[in-house]
Amino acid sequence: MKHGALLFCGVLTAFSASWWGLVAYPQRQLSPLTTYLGTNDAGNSYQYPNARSGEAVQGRQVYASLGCVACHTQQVRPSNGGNDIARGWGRRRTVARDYLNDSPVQLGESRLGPDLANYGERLGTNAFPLARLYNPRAVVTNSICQPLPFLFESRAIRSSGPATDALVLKGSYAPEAGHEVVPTLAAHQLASYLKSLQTSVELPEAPLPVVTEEASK
Amino acid sequence: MSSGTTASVRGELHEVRSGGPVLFLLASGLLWLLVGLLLTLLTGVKLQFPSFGSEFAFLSYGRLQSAAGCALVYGFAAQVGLGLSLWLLARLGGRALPGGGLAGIAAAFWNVALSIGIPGILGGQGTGLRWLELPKESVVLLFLAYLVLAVLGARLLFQRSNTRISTAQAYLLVALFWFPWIFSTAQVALVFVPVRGVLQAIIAGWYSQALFLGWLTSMALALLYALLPELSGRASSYSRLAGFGFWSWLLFSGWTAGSSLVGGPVPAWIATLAVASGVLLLIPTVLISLSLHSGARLGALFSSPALFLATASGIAFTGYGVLTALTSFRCAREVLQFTQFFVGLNQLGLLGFVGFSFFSGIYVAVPRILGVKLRFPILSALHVAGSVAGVGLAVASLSVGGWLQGWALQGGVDSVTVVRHLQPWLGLNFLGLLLFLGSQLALLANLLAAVVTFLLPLGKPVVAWVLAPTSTSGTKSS
Ligand code: HEC
Repeated sequence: MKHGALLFCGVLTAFSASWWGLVAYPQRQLSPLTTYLGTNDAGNSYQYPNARSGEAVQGRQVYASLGCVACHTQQVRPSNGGNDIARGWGRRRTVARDYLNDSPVQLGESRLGPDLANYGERLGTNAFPLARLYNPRAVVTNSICQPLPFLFESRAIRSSGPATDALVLKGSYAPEAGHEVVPTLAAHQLASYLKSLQTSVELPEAPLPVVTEEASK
Repeated sequence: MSSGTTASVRGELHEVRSGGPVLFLLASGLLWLLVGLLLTLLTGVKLQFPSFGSEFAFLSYGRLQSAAGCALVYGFAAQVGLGLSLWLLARLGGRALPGGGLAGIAAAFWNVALSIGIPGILGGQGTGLRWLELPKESVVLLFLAYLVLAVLGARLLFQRSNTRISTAQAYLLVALFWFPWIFSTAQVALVFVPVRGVLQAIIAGWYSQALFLGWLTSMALALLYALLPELSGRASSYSRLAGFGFWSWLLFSGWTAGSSLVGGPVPAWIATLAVASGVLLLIPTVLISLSLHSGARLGALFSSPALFLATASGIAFTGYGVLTALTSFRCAREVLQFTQFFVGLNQLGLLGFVGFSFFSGIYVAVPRILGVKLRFPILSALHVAGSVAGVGLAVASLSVGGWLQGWALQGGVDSVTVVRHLQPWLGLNFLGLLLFLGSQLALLANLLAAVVTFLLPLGKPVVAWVLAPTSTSGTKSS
């Protein structure tokens, strides 16, 4: 390589090509994406994605700062590219629009734990099991999910009576007599965020599968 | 140590005059390597005993992992890489590092930035994006420190005494300019003025690929191209191959960003492009590997730790490139995506390929700068053997464990059971990294001994002065 200038131009071209291709162009392609306004089968109109509640947005910050993304993805691959849907992590694949309101986006690259893109849907109408945040093993035997006892306050039960949101813990996880474990604000925020995770809404680019007799058995 | 032997290893004047900042970068880089490895080992403990230290938020698995990644990338790889790049540029260009103490000051600021940033991640200020977790304040410091070092490096390059740019210099040119480009893009688009939605994931993927394949790889390859012919005593007979390798690497390596997004919620062409360029990466991998290893002779391999490490680094490079290409195919991705396999592949790249190349550079650079030979060949042997065996064990265990994990996930096995079957392999990975960490202590001891040997003659007059029973010192001490 004799010519420094030529080399420099070559390097510059290669750099800018990948920059234009993978930073600038996707930005152009994705920035027109907006909230979808649709009508469901019953004729009611809906919009998606909805902004999360203020509490859930705070909870997303807690989720990011604790690095839950190290073990949990939040993306469902299409059924021809993995068995995410078959194992019940979502009813349809996730698409760009699902993440419109989220920052930081926590897609994740590792699945030591289950995918959480539809965790809220799996919970259904059940309240979030706060004990799982205090110590996952109180809920699931041998779980290696992250215990977060620092998001809870262990204290003597006050004279006014036990707190309404005190955890119900059994066996070796139970606090000593006269004490209770009470979630802090951050624990409630994180719970609210996890409960808000669901993507099973019909979108033109990602229709929900039609439920047939056989599949719904 | 006789002066005859020192003269034979004493480097040329410009190498020695650039020595202070280079040594500082190498030393602090190696200390961050220890920090990063310790943090990684802690994550390993947490995967076996999740309640270990769980009362403390700063010992959460996620935070430890982010902090470990940043310590290894920005603490170890970046600093040792920069130090060796400056040394190499001074040596190849026949110039001393300009700027007086500026390089040293910039290097000190780099360390200040990390000393704020890594505890910041542990304290919960991380951004939650891979290799971009460092909090804002430390990012700004880091960037400014880098600019100073890069400008000094660029001056060495443009004022070189050789007219023909060598392959090593070409790679260093790439390295110098690539990092500020990708770092500023990623920081602005993701942290300072965040873009919307999945675009964040696309840019973060682009950044981490560009950081490894573009920046760190360039610095490591530059060292191999500069050192291998000299260490093996044989010039590569394939210099045109090296040229083609360089250009094809430049062409294909920037496009694999979407490989971690195959099947993800991004436009389909991003994944298609990643698969295609991942496979095409085989071309530069083969070209570069051939040109690197063409001068190799098995018999000479054990003649010096530097040669052994450089060869091992080249082999790790080949392995990394081939595995990256093979796992680009959709059928492999379907199983391996999201598994520990890629954690292992990263260790092969960062500790194996890049790490070995940098260690090799250290074995050549430090004795030359100090003008002192490393005194304990046994420590060198321990370091080399431990490092290679450690990385080998760590990577092999996660490669196997990753496949098992992938098949189990595909088979619909529940997460707790998957993890239970994975744990023995995670344990082997832990042992591998522990061995790797332990062997770095041998390297540090050896380097420390060399520094002491270097300082002793300088210290003699001081010692003599302190010990001399002069009347002034006598009155002071009474
Ligand atoms: C070391 C890896 C790891 C980390 C870090 C981790 N988890 Fe988990 N998580 C798991 C595993 C494994 C499971 C499956 C076992 C279980 O249900 O507890 C799981 C399960 C869960 C579940 C139940 C999912 C379901 O489908 O039932 C939730 C909710 C959860 N984790 C939330 C979190 C949050 C919030 C964080 C961050 C504070 C976190 N996890 C960090 C490994 C991890």
